[in-house]
Amino acid sequence: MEGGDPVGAEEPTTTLVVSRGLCIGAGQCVLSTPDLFDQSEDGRVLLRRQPVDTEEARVAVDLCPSGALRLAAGRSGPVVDDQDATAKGWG
Amino acid sequence: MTVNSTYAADAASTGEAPDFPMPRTCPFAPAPEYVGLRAEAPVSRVRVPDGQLAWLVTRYADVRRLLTDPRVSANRFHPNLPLTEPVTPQTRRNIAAVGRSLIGLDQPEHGPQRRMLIGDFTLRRAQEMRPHIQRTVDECIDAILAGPKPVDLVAALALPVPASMITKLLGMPYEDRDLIVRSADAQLRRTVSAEQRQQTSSELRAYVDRLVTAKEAEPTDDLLGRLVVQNRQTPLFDHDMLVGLAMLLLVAGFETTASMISLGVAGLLENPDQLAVVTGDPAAMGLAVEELLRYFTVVDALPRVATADIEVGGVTVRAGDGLLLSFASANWDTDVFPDAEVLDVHRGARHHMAFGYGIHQCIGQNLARAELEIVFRSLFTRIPGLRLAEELDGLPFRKESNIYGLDRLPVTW
Repeated sequence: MEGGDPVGAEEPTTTLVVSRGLCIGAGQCVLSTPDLFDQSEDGRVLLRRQPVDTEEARVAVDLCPSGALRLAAGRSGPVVDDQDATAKGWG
Repeated sequence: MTVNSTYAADAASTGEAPDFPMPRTCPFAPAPEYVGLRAEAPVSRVRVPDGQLAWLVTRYADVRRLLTDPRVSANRFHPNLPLTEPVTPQTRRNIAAVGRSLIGLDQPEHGPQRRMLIGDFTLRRAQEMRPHIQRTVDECIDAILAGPKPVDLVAALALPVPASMITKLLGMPYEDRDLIVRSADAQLRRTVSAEQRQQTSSELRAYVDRLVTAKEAEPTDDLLGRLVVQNRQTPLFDHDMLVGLAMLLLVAGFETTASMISLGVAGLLENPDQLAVVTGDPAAMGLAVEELLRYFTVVDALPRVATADIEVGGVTVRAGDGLLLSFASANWDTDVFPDAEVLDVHRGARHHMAFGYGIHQCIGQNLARAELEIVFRSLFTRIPGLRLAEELDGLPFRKESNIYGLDRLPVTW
């Protein structure tokens, strides 16, 4: 289904959304799921590899305190957003 | 003042509100009232020492939700922020700079400040600190083994380890650690008079001001030095904010860890079956530390203010109302942690809120984890016969401090 037409997709899929602009560097994702997540020198979350089985990301998503990791309905992911969310006034 | 109007109405309609903080009765358990409050009145009115009313939130789900709700503010300058200790106007001025950094900021101001610091607090950086922590811990245990029995583990281990860490991290002379010990104590102990608190807050402020001034003149290779350099490229902090930030990191990074060391040792000694698990399997220590953090939750509650009407726990919190979000209660919520009153190092729960939640979650949490793991592993390996030298119930638990802990922990072997 990867790269396929979203219209008429047979089953709903889940996407891991990584918003680096929301990351506060708590490191919970790296601590709980080190083979999937890392931190860059500046302390923000990095995804070590793709594709991601969203099940293996679920613990880290739950632990993430800032909303930088979330699961969203949609086509196969992940989506990494490098935008600085503070400009938008996250909340 | 209009922000206070709902309090008057509430007080008139509901009569008496219990005092907060609520006292602990068992040395290891949070206030017993929390059990009933979680079941019957998960968001309920309490009165803080200056007479203000606030909403005490006791369920895990509610605390966690409010900590990520943008309508909940951490603003330290809001008149309705419920403070749990008496302060003078001068103390407020002394700590005002603290409120302008990290802990007292909402978004969007919080993010850029936090991000200027997090490079120094990654998991990798915490790992790099391990040799220094291990060396410090080894020296403390050498001295304990060479000295008389019984020994006070607070003075011999729980205080020196985090004091060494925080002074190294910030780049301050280790000889100045006594001031941190005294200041942390005076700022956090609720029985300290407002005047005494003012004196030590002034003393600490003056000391940190000199330290920051020195770093500004000649930035060294440490957190404060790097911050000064980064701040020249991207100015975010003025001098006073740097002073406030340094004060915050000093006090926050020190007393909390010291408390967890002494409580953790007491907790493991009182639960020999649990101690046997971690001494038998070194790999179990990581999650055992998480369980000790959950079980003791040294920061009971943090103050917040609602900036809009919020429905939570069956009540409507009005804009301007003060909130006290109880981590200690949340971490003993049996809906989330079955048999929460049992210390179970196999629980495997990382989702406790001992470090808080939301954008303000403890920045030093991975350093704290490294310190606790190394302390517990080294202590029980090198002194396998360690035991309490006095009855647990008679020990001086810090019931009057905003950070729970022990004044003294006499042990022998």
